[in-house]
Parts: sequence; C-alpha cells; structure tokens
Amino acid sequence: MKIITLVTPTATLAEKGKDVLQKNGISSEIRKVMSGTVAGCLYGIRVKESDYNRAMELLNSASVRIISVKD
Amino acid sequence: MIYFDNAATTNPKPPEVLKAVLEALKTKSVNPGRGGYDEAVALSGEIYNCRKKVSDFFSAGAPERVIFTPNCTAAINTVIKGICRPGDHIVASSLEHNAVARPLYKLQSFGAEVDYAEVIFGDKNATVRSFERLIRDNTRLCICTHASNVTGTILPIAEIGEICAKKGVPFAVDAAQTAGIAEIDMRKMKIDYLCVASHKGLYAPMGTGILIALGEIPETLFEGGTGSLSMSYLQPQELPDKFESGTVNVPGIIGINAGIDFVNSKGRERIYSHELKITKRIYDGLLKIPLIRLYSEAPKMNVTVPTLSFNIEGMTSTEVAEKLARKGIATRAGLHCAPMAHRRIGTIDSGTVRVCSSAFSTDIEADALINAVKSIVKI
Repeated sequence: MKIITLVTPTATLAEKGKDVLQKNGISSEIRKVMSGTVAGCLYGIRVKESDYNRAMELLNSASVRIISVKD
Repeated sequence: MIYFDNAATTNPKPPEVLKAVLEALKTKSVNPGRGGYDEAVALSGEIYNCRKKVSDFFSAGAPERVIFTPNCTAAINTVIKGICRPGDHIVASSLEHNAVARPLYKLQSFGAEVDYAEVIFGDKNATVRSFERLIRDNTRLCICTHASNVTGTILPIAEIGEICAKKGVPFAVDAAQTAGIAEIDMRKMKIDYLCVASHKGLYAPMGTGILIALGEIPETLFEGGTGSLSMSYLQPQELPDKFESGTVNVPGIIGINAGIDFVNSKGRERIYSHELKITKRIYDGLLKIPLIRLYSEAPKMNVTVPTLSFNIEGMTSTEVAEKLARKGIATRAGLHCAPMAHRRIGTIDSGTVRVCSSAFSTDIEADALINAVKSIVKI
C-alpha cells in the first residue's frame, strides 16, 4: 500500500490535519519531516495513496496549509 | 490554612490536576513538536487536544488560535504591544489591573492616546454608554477586564463587544478573574482576544496562561526556536508557533487540560453558584459587624464574581490581613496590583482586604472568617 506524505509547516497544523481527517474517516499518522529545502523542520501527515484526493480536499477546507507532497 | 486568596491563585488544586501534572513530569518529559520519535509526536497530539478543549470551553472554534503563555499578563502584553503602535487610540476601563494599565502607560509614553471608560457600579447600561462615548471608528483596540479583582464587579463585555464589532474595533478581554467562572463565549460576545489566567478559575498550575487570538494576528514580542521551518531566520507566522518560541510548559498545559476537565465535570455554573453562595455568606456576615466597610455589591450571579473587598475602621488593611493570617486565614491586603480600581472606590491610600472563594471553599471556612473578623474589630 503506497503512502503519501502531506507536508505541513508546524506540528499543530499536522495535528489539526490528522484530527480533520479522522473525523471524516481517513486514518493518518504524523511524522517529522526533514525536507532538505529552505524550510527545514516540517511535519508530515501520512495517508494512503487512495485517500490522497479526499484528504487534500478536507485539509484545504480546514485551512491546513500543505506546502509539499512526498511519495 | 483557610484560604480565601483565590483571586490570586486557586488553592487547593483538584486531585485530578495534581495527578495529571505529576504523571506528566514522570512520563512526559519529552519536547513536543521537536523530536520525531513516537513519544514526542504523541505528546504533540496531547497538546493539540488541550488546545481543542480550551477552544471548545470558550467557544472560540479555532484550536490553532489557542496560544499557551506563561501567565495572563504575558497574554495581555502580547495583545496590547503586538497590536498597538505609538499614536494609536486605545480604550480601557477604570478598573484595570496593572497587567493592562502598565503596558498602556508605557505605550502612552510613546505617544499612544488612552481613554478609560468609567465603570458605573450597579448600572450596566451606564457603563456601556461610558465605553460607547469613547470608542471611535479609528480606535485601535478596546481592552477591558471582565471582572474587577478588587470589587468583583463584572463588566458588560457582550455589550461592549457589540459596540466594538459595529465600529470595526478589535476587542480584548482580560478574563483573569472570570475564566472558568462566568460564561465566556468568544463568538457570541464578539471577543477578538481572550486573555486567561488558567491557574485561577481553571485550577491549573501557576506559570500558565492562555491567549486566544481570533482577530488580526499581533506582532511578536519575542522570537526563537519553534521546532518548525527551522532553516529560516524569520519567525514562523503560523499560529500558535508564532507566539510559542522555546519549550512550552508541558506539565502546565497538561494541568490546564485536567483543570478544564474538573470544571466541566462539576459544571461551571454549579461551581460559580457555590462560590457566590460562600462569598454571599461572608458578605452578609461582615455586614452585621460594626466598623466594617464593604466595597463590593452583594454577590450575585452575572453581576459579580466571588470576590469582595472590605476594611475595618481604625485599622489598616495590612494589619487586618496580618491578624487574620495569624488565625490561619489567608486573604490579601493592599492594592492588589490594581491602583486604578482602588482610585475608583476611594481606597488608594488604605487599600482593602480582599476575599475570594473557590470550588473548595466551605460554609465552615466562611464562618471562621466572619468570626475571626469579629474578634479583631476594635470597638
């Protein structure tokens, strides 16, 4: 099962995102992410690839800023 | 000790809070939002859940706008100095604690214009009009105490919030004396910034405070490491990280979580009602003692918090508090960091003896205080 990491800038946003997804039946886990970009320490919400589109929709509606997506 | 200084901090703390804080110290000494290991990530989740609980408690609807601060004073400073600039117009009340008065005084020295709306005891409408007269379309901030820490008077913040909302003026409330006691619904009352002393009516440890910032996001008073966007030297703008530089007070926050659970389990209104009953018992008892002067309205739901101030004619407030302390009763004498309020009630030279009950205060303790006061009155 392929996992996609939706990268947010802060732990609180990641937790908020996980909360929003959980309320809508999408399971996720949070992992710290070192992006190797100018951003530095970031937080990833890991979801199944099959949940990606719906997850992005939900996170955007809840103003959870996703700054990048990693495979 | 019979403790009636709950306006300074509540004592005792509920067993649930003690247990939660001790547990946090024993098993949760990891830094949330820093390490990527399971324990740190799990703790981040717990902290977030506490933000949600706080947000729900005050009907804010925005957990990420819940910012943990070292105390209510830090929250108030963040709002005043993060929003206002030299030359701005600010409105406050005539009963402000120094947590509000001092930052405003400092801003005045930099050219800010501050007007203080007169609080009219026993006449809510007159107080509202007092604020309405002063709030202009270009007022940068209206900030007021929800209740006086000296007299216990509750201000009409819902009505003041309405005026501010109509004029587009940001509205901040110092809820140090009311959080966990009086009803506070940020959305309904049009409160943009709520400043909370969580170690009082929320029964959390000292060294904790909360700022809920629903309005325009203030500038920071200090910057530092946030465990996020670390490559940049710019302070992150995302909330709450923007205002939570450095390590947060994890045991304190877990204590806030447990404190809110305590208040919710007993019922906020039930606690408030109980506290008012105790303070009313004291009020009625003091009224019958000769030479007692009371400076508070009779304790009443939605009119006062469970705080009252009094003096004994012929004795200084300090002397009275000292004699009570020798009898094992804790009260607070003096100006209570609120000289404005004391000027308003005419006690700037004498101060007052202040009494405030909590969820744990009892009739027996109230009677002990009354009897102690009777015994020290010099007729």
